[in-house]
Amino acid sequence: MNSESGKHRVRAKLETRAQELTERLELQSVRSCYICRTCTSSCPVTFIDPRFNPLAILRMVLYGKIEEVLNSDFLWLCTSCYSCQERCPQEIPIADIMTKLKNKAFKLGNAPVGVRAQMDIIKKAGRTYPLDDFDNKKRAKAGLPELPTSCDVVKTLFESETESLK
Amino acid sequence: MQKEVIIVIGGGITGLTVALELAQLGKHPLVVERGPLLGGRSASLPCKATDRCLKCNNCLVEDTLRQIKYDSPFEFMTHTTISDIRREAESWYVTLETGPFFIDWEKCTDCGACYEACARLGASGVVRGASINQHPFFGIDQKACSCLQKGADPACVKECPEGAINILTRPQTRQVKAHGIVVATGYTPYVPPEKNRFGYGRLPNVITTQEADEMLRESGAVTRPSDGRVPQRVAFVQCVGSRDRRIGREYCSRICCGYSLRLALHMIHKYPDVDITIFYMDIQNFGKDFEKYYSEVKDKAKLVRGLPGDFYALDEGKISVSYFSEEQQKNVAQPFDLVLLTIGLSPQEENPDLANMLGLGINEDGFLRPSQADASAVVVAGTARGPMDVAECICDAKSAAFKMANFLEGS
Ligand SMILES: Cc1cc2nc3c(=O)[nH]c(=O)nc-3n(C[C@H](O)[C@H](O)[C@H](O)COP(=O)(O)OP(=O)(O)OC[C@H]3O[C@@H](n4cnc5c(N)ncnc54)[C@H](O)[C@@H]3O)c2cc1C
Ligand code: SF4
Ligand code: SF4
Repeated sequence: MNSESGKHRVRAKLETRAQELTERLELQSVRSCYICRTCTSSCPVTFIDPRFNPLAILRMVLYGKIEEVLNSDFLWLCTSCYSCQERCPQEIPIADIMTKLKNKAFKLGNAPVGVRAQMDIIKKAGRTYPLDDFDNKKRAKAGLPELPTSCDVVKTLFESETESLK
Repeated sequence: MQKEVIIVIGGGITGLTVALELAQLGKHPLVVERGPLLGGRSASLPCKATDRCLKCNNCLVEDTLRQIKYDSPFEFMTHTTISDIRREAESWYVTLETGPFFIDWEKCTDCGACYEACARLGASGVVRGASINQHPFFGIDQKACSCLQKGADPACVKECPEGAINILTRPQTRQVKAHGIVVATGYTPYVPPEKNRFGYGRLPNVITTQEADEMLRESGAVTRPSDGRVPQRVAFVQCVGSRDRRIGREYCSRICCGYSLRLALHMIHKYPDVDITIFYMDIQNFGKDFEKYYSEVKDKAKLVRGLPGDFYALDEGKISVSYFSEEQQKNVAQPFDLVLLTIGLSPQEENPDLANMLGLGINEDGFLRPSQADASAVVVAGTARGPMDVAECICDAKSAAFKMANFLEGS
């Protein structure tokens, strides 16, 4: 009896937390979903890796499973192509929701190693593929102008942005 | 005593039924139809029977048209619009404009000489009815007249042995004093915009159900526009132009699930080998006996819950349609020979103007709503009020006619 009511309390607490998270991230629009599946059928990722399914993610959020989404690795498969968002008949900002979820997951320290590594590279070099003198020599041979090998502006921008994410 | 004229705006199945009822009640309806023919959208709907009647209602329209053709129970004017309307005391003063280019249906014998003359020029200025029960059977579509576009005299005029075709410099006007008005101006079928993901307008074998219906009515079969062949694999895409916030149509058109499932059953009956897949959000179960047809479709066709994503051109006019497969739990692309877009019913563009002119309201979906204050002098009926099928239009029209008759007797 006692342990039963304990379970209830835990579940109620979890549910409230999920609800609070959903509201704090302003994801209430998921409630107007028709389940027409346009988003999933339009998603190029679902073609390649069926673990990523935009509608399934929205349903998880709606059913209070937002923490499972935030802990998942499939969330990071979204390419932000916006095909789903462009076509949703209920105008649910699906791709924006994915970004919000990814930001939240990042704050919780759930970003995959690859994402973190890429972030560090951008922070250091200002771009995903860092340039060095060797690249500039090749560019000069091809008649292309020299490019800076580091980019402090991006670094500054980046630091303030990641600060806000923390 | 002066005749109590009631103006019925719109000569579709709703307007015609209202007028028939009013005439039977001893009133004097005058149907004002802006198009060249009577019957509206319903006159071109095909019979969707298999080895039995599927109650698509389309023969009800034929009965009505036949009655009007042979009994002439009321007065009507085609090629006519209302240019002005004034309310004074208990009456409406209505100015009607006919033409300037039109066929006088009272002189016309439906011989078709004008149609042939126009067709010889390769033009489609003279239009033809879809039903032998339509009179007038021929009319003028001024916008499609190639003679006028070239600045020449229309070739059809001198071909008419009855001298029934008029081409005037200005529209012919007529003033009518009316005691009541029935608005039966109908709907517009949804047409996908130029940029759409279905490939409509770009891929020849992606057509609307309206085009499929017209094809079935004209030639007796739904074939591929690109080569005229009978399709093997056909996809229906439900809810095109309905339940979509992005295009400002959040409502369910109510009748498209019914007519498309019937069309699917008809196609399977005619060509038992045809392989039909219906992509849907949810099937809206309206109308009598609907469950029966739904179960039958579930047996004979494939129903896929979920709307497709991409539509790409393949060889031989085929279309690749991608969707989420429930069995495989992933997105798949499947080739189809023909894609039918199940289009919904849109409100008429002129509804705000009409509402303004007659003191009516507009509901949240853009259809007409009778105003509370003057509900009985102006009655709205049929699809002008919202999506309905033919049977519902007929019921609504009859009730509108009774309301109008009651109002006239009370006043
Ligand atoms: C693809 C498709 C398939 C369908 N299949 C079926 C089916 O199988 N069975 C069924 O029961 N229903 C079917 N329907 C529905 C059916 O078409 C409608 O229920 C019916 O035609 C509505 O009749 P109406 O008279 O209200 O409107 P309409 O047919 O639209 O008639 C309105 C008339 O008013 C005229 N008009 C409009 N504005 C003015 C104006 N300002 N002045 C003068 N005249 C004006 C128009 O020219 C028109 O002739 C289908 C609809 C679609 C789109
Ligand atoms: S496209 Fe929009 S309405 Fe349709 S299933 Fe996805 S989120 Fe829901
Ligand atoms: S009747 Fe069916 S196809 Fe038409 S809008 Fe409603 S659900 Fe969609």
